[in-house]
Amino acid sequence: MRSDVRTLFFAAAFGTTCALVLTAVSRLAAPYRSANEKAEEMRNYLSALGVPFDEKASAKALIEIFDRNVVVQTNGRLRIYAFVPAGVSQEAMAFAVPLAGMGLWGPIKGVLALEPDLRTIRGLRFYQQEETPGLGGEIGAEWFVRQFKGKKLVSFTGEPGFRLVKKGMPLDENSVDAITGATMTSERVQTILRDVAAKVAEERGRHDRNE
Amino acid sequence: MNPIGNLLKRFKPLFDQGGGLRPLWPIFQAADNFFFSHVEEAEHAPFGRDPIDIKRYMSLVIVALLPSFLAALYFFGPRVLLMLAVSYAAGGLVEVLFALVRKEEINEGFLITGFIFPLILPPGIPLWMVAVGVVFGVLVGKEVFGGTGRNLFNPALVGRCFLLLGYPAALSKSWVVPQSGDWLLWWRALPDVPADAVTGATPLMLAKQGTHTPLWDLFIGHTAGCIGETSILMTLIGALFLITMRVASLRTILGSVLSFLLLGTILHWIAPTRVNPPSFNLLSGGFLFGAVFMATDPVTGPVTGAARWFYGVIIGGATLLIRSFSGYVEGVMFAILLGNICAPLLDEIVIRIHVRRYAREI
Amino acid sequence: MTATNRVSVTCVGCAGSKCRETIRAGVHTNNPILVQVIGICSALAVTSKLETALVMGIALILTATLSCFFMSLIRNITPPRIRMIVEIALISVFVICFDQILKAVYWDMSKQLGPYVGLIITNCILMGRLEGFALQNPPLLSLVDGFANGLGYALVLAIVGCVRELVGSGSLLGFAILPESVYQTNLLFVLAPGAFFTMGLLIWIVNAASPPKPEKKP
Repeated sequence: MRSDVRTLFFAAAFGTTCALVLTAVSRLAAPYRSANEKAEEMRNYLSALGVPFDEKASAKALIEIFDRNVVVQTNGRLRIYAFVPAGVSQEAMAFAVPLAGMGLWGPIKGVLALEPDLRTIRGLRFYQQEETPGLGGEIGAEWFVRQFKGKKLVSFTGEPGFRLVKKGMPLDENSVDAITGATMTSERVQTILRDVAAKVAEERGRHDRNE
Repeated sequence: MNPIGNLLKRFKPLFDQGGGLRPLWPIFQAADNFFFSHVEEAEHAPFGRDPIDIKRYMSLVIVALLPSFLAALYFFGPRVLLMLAVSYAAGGLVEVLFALVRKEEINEGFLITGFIFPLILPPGIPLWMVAVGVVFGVLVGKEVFGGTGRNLFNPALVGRCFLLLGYPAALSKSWVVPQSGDWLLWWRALPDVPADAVTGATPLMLAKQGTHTPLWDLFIGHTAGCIGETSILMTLIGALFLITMRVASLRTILGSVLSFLLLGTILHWIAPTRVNPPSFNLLSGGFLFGAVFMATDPVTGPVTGAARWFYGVIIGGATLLIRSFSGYVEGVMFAILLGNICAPLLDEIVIRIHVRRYAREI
Repeated sequence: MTATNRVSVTCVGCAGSKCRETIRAGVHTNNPILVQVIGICSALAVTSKLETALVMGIALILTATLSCFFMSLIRNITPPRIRMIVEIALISVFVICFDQILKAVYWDMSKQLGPYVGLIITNCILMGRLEGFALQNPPLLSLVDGFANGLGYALVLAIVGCVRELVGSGSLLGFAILPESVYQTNLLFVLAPGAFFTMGLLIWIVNAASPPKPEKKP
């Protein structure tokens, strides 16, 4: 009986000490940590939008730049990040929308930046993906995303959509080269882009009506 | 005797126990064996009669591989010879090094590994990759386990697996449409592939996109693919030879081919969009080549009769499943390596069942 | 008060040879990875680059040293029935602290290491050292033992990290050693299987180089 009480007492004392230490450390680290997490997300949007910023900027500086230049709006199904340069103009210079969907092995997340006409692609960036390294994983590579700059999210006829076509096939404004040897990943990326194109088209309709 | 024999005899003391060049004994031994093939004779009872020794076995497999090799030469030009030379040189170097360190004789097992390795590579593969692959295969697939006869995995397949997983992009770029007959073009382009040789998708890649290569082309071998595996005709000739000489296990071959066809038929009936028709599946890719020449490797396969059937079934089934339902278009290599892992276990199970039955009878 | 006195006296008494022996055991003769083959999962996961391998090694050295020391301090007052829970709790405190600090000041590294810093809690090396050594030995010697084992782990990680980064990406600590035009990335070494091969070969080489061990008596 006495040993039980002793055990209980020890456990309580030990548990309390541990909890105190953990709470203290967590409290101290929390502001830095959350700033880092937020800055990580913002860095993706800033670089997709083409907002100039220092690569090595601290988390705090990044958040400041983001708040000064970017306006976030949520319209229906779509969240839009508008680039309104501070002190230059009231008009948005670019828009960015989040991309998300299933890849071959896991979720793919990215940012798609658009010109103010909401048709032309300004930049593309995948910041989370688990595709086969060296094949599908190439969607994160510079050469792949660079192809998208200046392409359109709508076809000749005005239909929203996008195509990834086999290397060697003729390209138009609405398509880029797929990755050789990674058909599945390319298909998934195409689906994700079409999905976003449809949402953006909806948004464009609303935009045009307002004007 | 002839001059070479005298030469060898004169230098033998140098390499004998206590001689100045003793560490190089394995090289001397190999040279001696290559020319004269000394067989150790038993001097007293019991005498056993061994109808087939390991050397004859090896040479029979090489003979069986020759038709496929000639077909490769015909379809993919003289670069095949270069690949073979690189494979033998690089792998042989590792073999000799280990023989020297271990103070053992140089093993003939490498003759097959070095010969079969280039045959399971795409024709346009950079030559340094051939060397890296065969070195890795011999080192990790064989020497780590203690050399020929003790290896768990087929060394050639280990080497290829290493290349496929290590350099997937380079490998997928190395498929070339066969240019049968146009040797001059290939000759001038050495050591590379001719610049205008069309990089072509293999029949299995094409099938994933919906186009099926005609069966006759597949049978003859006029398709893109690993250099030795494309011609089913030549593989069949080799298989016939191996089976009539009783070198390859008929059970393993039949087990894998029959299970492959049976499972293929059923699954094709259930999901025709994902699974190719069985006839096409059997003739395309390297399945037959693997089943005939690599699954039947006596070292890495099981030894008991019943286990060989199951071993074949594992290989056939796994190949079909990997081909149809995974991101890879070809699955023979993985399937055989998987079978290699299971082989000792299968043997163990079969032997235990036999022992139990035997005990009950008593 | 008397307890601590006794502890420090025994520790001073045993300082020289026993201390050296403990370090030798942790780093070489009883190296956690090469000889005991434990703590492999993290070693496979974080060694694709030398930098991550080094940070992970430092994390393990710190947490192992601290938890061994504190466990040994409270070893005489810990009720035997709940000692395992106490061990785990103690390890988690240090690991979580380290993880939080890493997230606050070294964000990029913490992102690359992913969940593996947190998973040190379940690392067999720590639990094994606490249970097998710190519970029976005085604090300072336990501290040395924790440090030595952490160092043994960190050294192996550093070697594997070196080989994998060099063979896999042709660089070292992020600086290109071989120009990209010549070197072709080897994905097998970038991915986890590369660590399997490297570690297996490392164990092979170490075993082949050291004299054969005497058979253990049953």
